[in-house]
Amino acid sequence: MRKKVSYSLLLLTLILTFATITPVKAAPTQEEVENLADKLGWTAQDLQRYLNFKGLQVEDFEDIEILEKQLGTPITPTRLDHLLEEYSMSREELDILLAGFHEDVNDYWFIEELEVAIDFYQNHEEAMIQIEEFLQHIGINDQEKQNVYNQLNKLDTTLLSQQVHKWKGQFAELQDIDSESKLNEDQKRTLVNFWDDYFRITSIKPVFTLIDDNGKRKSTSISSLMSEPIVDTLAIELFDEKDNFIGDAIVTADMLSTPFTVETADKFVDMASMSEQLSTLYAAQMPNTASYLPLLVCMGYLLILIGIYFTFRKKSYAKK
Amino acid sequence: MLKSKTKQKIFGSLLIILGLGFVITVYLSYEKVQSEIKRPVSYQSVSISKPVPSFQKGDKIGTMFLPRTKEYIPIYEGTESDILADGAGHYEKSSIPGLGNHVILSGHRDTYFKGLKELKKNDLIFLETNNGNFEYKIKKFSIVSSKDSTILTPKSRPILTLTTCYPFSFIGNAPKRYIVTAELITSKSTSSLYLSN
Repeated sequence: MRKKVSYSLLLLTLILTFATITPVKAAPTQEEVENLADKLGWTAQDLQRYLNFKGLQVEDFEDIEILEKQLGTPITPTRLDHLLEEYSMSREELDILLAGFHEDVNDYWFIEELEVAIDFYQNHEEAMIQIEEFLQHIGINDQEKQNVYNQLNKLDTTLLSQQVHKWKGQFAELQDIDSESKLNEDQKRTLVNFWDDYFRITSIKPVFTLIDDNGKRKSTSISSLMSEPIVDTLAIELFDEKDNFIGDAIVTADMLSTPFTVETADKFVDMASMSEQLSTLYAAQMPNTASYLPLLVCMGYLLILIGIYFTFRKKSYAKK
Repeated sequence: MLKSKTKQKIFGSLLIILGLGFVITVYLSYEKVQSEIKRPVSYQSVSISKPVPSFQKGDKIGTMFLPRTKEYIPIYEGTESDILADGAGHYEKSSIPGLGNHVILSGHRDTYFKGLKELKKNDLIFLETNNGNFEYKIKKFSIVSSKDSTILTPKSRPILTLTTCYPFSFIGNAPKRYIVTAELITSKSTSSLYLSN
């Protein structure tokens, strides 16, 4: 029994001794750090500056491999040129693209981050340009476009995002239709349901009017537009829930091909999706951050001065 | 009947009292804000629950802590003037901290965001919310037109943008905006905790 106890004590002492003498943490050496920086095309100071910015120190890493994994490929003029070549962009074009999002190349540490940014911003720009072109094509001007976005911006982002997802799914099957083919009954129903859904959710009230060559107007609805062949010009007016005018579009009979019908629906979903992702871009006016307090204090001082003036004027009369 | 001299005297005194009233009201409002933002608020317990995906206008989202000025600024959903009178406003169409890339907060330059002009590059900003705690580091400051459309854009990586009016000493609607851009350094969000659990 005594032997057992003394063995246990010895074991415990050994464990404790090892625990205290084993170094808790290893860190890359200065030489390793310099070599790594050199390999990346940075100076040791650059690396230090990056770590400082991230709130880290060399000692936080157990070895140089872990530190290396944390880093990307630093942006150097040669690497930047190579990246620009890949994207067929000039430096000026890159600067313009980033400036559109209040950024510049110096905001990025690594080529990989910059690449993600270029992809992200280019995709958004392209989607925006496509929508702009489409809206122009159907006669919606800048002010009207803004009105549509304002209307979409009133919606709950989460709800809108779910809807966009649902609509995109519905359109997937309509995408491959070419200009010669006709929509079958099911596809027509899908489109009619979509528009009903879209206008209900966005609280946009559409008014459809057919105008024939003699200028004679006849009001119509989406379902009848889908069921009858259209030979006249179609005027679409959009209003909000309080009957305020949002915008109007003109669609001529020759524009009304099947792909156009599908594209229109698709572009309106894109607009809703844009409003969800890019609403901030279109609601460009920054919040008004002036409080009334400075104005109030000025008024206060002004009132005091006028008050003093009245008192003073009274005294000067008294002297006379 | 009172003499016109006396009438003028009373009128003058009333104006002085009213003016003093205005000045004192403003002084008290400043004092209230200052005492509020200097009082530490803690969101230490990050509860492992489903993250809050959206807020109603006027809901409290969390607190922004600025270590340089030692200010704890309450953050509310929305940027309407009545909301900005109570703290910083989260721009509704921007991301909720922890659930998207670009978080935009606005505040009054003479009350809650008065301390923005004291901040320096590389200063830390902490957002403590029910969705988690987020540490940002200031990357740049810019002064832009109030109509600048490049500020409120989406971002390719997690960014916090603070906006307030500029010049700081301007009376009325200032023509410029003071922009602080900060990059996310670390985050401990309930969304990641939630997903990993």
